[in-house]
Amino acid sequence: MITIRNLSFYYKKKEPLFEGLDLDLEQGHIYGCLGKNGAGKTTLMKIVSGLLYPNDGECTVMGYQPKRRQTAFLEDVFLITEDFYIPHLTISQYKDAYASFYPRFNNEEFKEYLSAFDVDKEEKLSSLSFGQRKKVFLSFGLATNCRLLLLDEPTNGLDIPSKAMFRKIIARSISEDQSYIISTHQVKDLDNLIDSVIVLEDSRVIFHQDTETITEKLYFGTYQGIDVPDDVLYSERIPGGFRIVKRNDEQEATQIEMESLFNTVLGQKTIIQEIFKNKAS
Amino acid sequence: MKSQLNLNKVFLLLKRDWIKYRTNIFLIFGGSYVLLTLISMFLYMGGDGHFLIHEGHTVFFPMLLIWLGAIMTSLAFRELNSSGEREFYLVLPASHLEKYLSKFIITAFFLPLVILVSYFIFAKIYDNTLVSLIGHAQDLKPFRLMDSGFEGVPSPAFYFLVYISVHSIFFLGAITFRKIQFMKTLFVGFFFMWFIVGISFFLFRMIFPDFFDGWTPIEPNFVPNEYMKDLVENNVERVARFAAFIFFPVVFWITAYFKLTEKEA
Repeated sequence: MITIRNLSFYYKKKEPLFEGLDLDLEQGHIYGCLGKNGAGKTTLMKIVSGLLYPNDGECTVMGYQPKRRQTAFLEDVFLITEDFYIPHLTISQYKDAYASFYPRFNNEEFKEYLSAFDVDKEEKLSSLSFGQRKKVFLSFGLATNCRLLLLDEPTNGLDIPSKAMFRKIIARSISEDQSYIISTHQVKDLDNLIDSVIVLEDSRVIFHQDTETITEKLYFGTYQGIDVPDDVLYSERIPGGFRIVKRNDEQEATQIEMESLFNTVLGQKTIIQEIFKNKAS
Repeated sequence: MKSQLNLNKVFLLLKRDWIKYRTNIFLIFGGSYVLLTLISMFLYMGGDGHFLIHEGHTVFFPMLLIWLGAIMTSLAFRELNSSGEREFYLVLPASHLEKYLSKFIITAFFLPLVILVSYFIFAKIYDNTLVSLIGHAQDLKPFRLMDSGFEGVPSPAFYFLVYISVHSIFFLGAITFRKIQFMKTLFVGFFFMWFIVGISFFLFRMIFPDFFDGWTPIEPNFVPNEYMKDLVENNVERVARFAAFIFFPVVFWITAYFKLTEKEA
């Protein structure tokens, strides 16, 4: 679905954000794009959606070059940015004005998502809180049924029940010919939601694995004791012990703890590379 | 495709603009007619019980058409120039040509049409109200736009031709300038106009030296060459009209399209 080859991008010539970036994403997946602030998550989303042009290299999305911004491409990609523009319209006026641009827009689904998020469609967008607005755009984006949905920091501003609802809706709305890319630094929000993890760091993708492989190669658990054992890749003190990540030598099935995974990937780059390289060979 | 054209998309863009901007349109039109009424009242008060302007349609309609048209045309691509709305507009599934055409149709056709219809309604209500209040009207004459009422003065309908030029200039300005498009276009347009006048004068001076005494134009009757005199008298106005109402507008509209394509890139 998305093929990126040797992509370079910079805002300032001497400070490249991406250099020689390669990435392959397939349809039918929910990708979590993680990275520290300034790692280039939003920029990558904008390059994929055609809002920014790479300085070098290739980016192909569903057979289109995003930078050409062809109508057929734009009809199949929906981007929800973190700082989105709010027109002075009610939600139903917004739907009337924009839904027809997306051939697969489903009005029933839109109403259903709004109702799940507890938003009244007669409300004026400008009078809603940031979180409520986000819910409207999430509902609209999902109802477009675009083949590629790009969500930049979608859980920012959502309260706890809404975050749970967001996970539920995302998980049940995706179809086989679609892909969702969720970029966030609030990695905990992606627990049990995504099926592939991408980590951006140092101008490139340093980690790209599906969750099945991750659970096969890494163990996520807790350790009760005073000192953590030497084979632990990452540890974090919690009441009564440590939350840990280590090699899954005993092939135990554990649940991925997204924040710990992220910190492990950033903190143990070489070891992580070696562990997952072994898998590939 | 940047030049892809689907009329259904153009219609969707028109519908979107109507939903998005209809409140603003009503406010601007309402405000303009309130202003027109106030101006008219001041003219009445200043005229010691009589209106200072007779045949009001010769002033009010052109004023409304040109100024309101120019202001609203210069705001046509506001969303492309506003940082918040820009991304939203760029990812809207429609080609450059469709986006260009939708704005062109609104400002070049719908806008003068709405100004015309709303002026008809306003003039009717206004004159009837005045007659019932003070016994005489200001002659806004909504149905006599082809008739100037004064000899040698162009009819209000002539200003539709002027609107073509004004539209092309402000449409290009709406795409070119990022902020305060109206004022910037007015400023640049003023200098551009004088530049063209200057160039034309120099060319005229070079091609028809018999018409000048030094740099001062002489009376056409004193030009020694009858053939040249006839040529100039019969063709200069035609050339000027062609340049003002056809040539420059077409050039500006085409430039505006390429400018939009470049700006969206």
